[in-house]
Amino acid sequence: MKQTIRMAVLFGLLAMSLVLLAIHIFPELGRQGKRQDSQRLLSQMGRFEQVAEIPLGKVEIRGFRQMGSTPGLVRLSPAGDRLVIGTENGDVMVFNIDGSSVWRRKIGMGKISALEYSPDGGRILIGENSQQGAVICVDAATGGEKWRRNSVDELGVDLRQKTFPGIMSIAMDESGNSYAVALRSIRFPNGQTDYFARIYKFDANGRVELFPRDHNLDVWVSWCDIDPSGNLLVFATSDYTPGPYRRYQNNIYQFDARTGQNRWSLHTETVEPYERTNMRFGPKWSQDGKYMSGVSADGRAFFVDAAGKLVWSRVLSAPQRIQGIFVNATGLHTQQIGSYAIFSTGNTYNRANWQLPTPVEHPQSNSVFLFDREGNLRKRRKLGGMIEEMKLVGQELAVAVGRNIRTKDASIHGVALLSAPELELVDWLPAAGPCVAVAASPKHVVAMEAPLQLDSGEIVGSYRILVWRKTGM
Amino acid sequence: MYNRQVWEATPADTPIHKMDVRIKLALLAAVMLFAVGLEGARPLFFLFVCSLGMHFVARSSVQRWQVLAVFLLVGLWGTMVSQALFYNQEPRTMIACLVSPTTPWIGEWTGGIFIYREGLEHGAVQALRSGTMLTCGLLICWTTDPRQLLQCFLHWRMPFEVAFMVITSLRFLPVIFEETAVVFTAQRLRGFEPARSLSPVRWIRTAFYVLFPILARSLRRAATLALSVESRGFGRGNSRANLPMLPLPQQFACVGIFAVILVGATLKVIYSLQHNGVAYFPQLRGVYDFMAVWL
Repeated sequence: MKQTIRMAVLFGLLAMSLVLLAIHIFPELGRQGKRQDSQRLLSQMGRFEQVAEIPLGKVEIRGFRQMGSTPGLVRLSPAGDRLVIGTENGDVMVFNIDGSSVWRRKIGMGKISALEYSPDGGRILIGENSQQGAVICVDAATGGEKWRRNSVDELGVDLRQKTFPGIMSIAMDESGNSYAVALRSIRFPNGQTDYFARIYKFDANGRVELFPRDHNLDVWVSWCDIDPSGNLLVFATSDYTPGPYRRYQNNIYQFDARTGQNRWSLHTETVEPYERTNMRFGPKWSQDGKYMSGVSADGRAFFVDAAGKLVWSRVLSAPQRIQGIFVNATGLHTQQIGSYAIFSTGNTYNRANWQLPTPVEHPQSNSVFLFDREGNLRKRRKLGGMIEEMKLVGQELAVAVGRNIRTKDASIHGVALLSAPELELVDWLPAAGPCVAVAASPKHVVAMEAPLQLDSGEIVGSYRILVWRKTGM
Repeated sequence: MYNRQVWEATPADTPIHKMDVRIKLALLAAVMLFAVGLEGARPLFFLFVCSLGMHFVARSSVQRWQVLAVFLLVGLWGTMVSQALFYNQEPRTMIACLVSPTTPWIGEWTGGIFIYREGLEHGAVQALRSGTMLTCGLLICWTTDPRQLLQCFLHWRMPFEVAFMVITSLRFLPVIFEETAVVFTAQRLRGFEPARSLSPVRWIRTAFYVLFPILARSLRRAATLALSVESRGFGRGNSRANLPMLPLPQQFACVGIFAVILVGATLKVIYSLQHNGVAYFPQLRGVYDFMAVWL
């Protein structure tokens, strides 16, 4: 009898170990999409209810010491009935808005760096960072590949140094053309950096045109936007080791999207202690196609007309010298609604080394600013955590709020819904971990949450998608 | 476990027992190479489960499953726990704190003892590798007569000395376990109770009490064996053994196994060249993606 019990325990332990291993290795075995009715959570004002949670697997759990957010992208289809997710683990997944899976595919060796739905919702464009730096167009319904275009032919690759080309962002125009910004940078031991950037225009069938037509840009470009008519392509530049030998010294460039000709470029003054104005996100066109708004990493907002004239620039956050180092809140995103422009700032960072902590929090950090076209500040709202992404839907602005590396307050994570353009808080959709991406439609708000390790060792949140639906819809 | 019968090959009417020893060794080589070459937890888990499944096909006895379960559990959890404690790569995520850095003496000395999630995962991969090899090795041990193995090695022109050593070690395995049982029995008769306490000092003392007699007896046995084989003119005769040609289906199986090994090795080399920045072939992007995702 004793022998039998001993054997049963032994085999039970082995079986349990194997089951635990299997669940850990194949997390999809335990994946549950839909949230049960009894578990429904309401937003702060009760306007939204959480209807689905989609686990996305395991990722590195960051703490407050590491700068940079957990990568991940989420986009809603134009009809708002499906969402596409690009994860840190290289998965591209499409789900129905209720959390049920439609299809998924692995991107392979590359890292997903950009993701967009086409305006008709029939295609999904995926940008990757790999030896080939490809833009992959897939069928939104099935996930089947339609075409693929590599940027390595223009930007090159260094296998040994692992400097690969990557797609930084993708913009779409109303005619179904897509614009992808590709970039490769090489950092040399002497501190100098070489950049190779190009913008690709694809039609629906993958036929390509290049901007500029015959050479690479020798500066950092990570963003572009196309005006509502689809004729004017605009992008901004950055250069972290500026030098006089650069061909592209200016900050904003506009190209004719039909002919590929450079129409104008704009140079902006620098501010101490910066050597150059760097713009990573923006400029963004207004809905009427008359103006562009941009924001620079040194904390300034710019408003430019379609002819390339600087209408105004305003300081969102000024660098401050504290204990011998410059601290500032980086300028991040911009949106335009009607005759207003919205800008955001991120976490406080150390100018000497952005990975090092700062002695204080910059008072203008983690905020959203509203300006009118005359450059008057109409409103500023501090959101307490890193503004990871902003999405405008109708008259509301959905803002993904992530970590605050200074205050380390874990209660500020979630999605803030602000009225646009007033920037009044309409609702608050809380999340346990920092929100790193957001997408919104008139009926739904979708956020990507990342796990975070607090200084106490406790882990809050997980790598997952949270779907909220407007109540009563 | 200490029963000699558990360790020795026994005849039975199963496909594994009937399989030619050459096919078994080719399969074993393939599994070993894949266990070492594969890096993903998913294919390794699949390989491990397949190797366990072979024991079902071979209808291994309950006692043998018991032995296998003990070895696998010790290997699995031992590797996972040790890797979870001593993992030093980045990134690493603490999931539990065993000793706080502020604990007097040991905490200050060690900087705290933590369990790292990535360490557990790394340990699981290592444990699956060793578990697969152990499972397949025991399967061969339990289903193949050592004389057949020796014949096969000699047929493949393995140096006689090496083949003899391999087979002798296999033959000695049951003997060593049997001797361990004898030593334990002798110790118990003298009033020694090794499992009475959980004190580490006592466990170390027990290990010495048990290991020294086993070592002494093994050395004595080895000396006797050496004398015996030398007196019979070890290695001076014809050391070539001829096995009959494999039947055609088994020849095909053998070719298939070697083809799988070759394909696996080629894929691994291609991927390693790309991973180390030596050579990248854009037309093989699909292969690279497959390797990155599944293998």
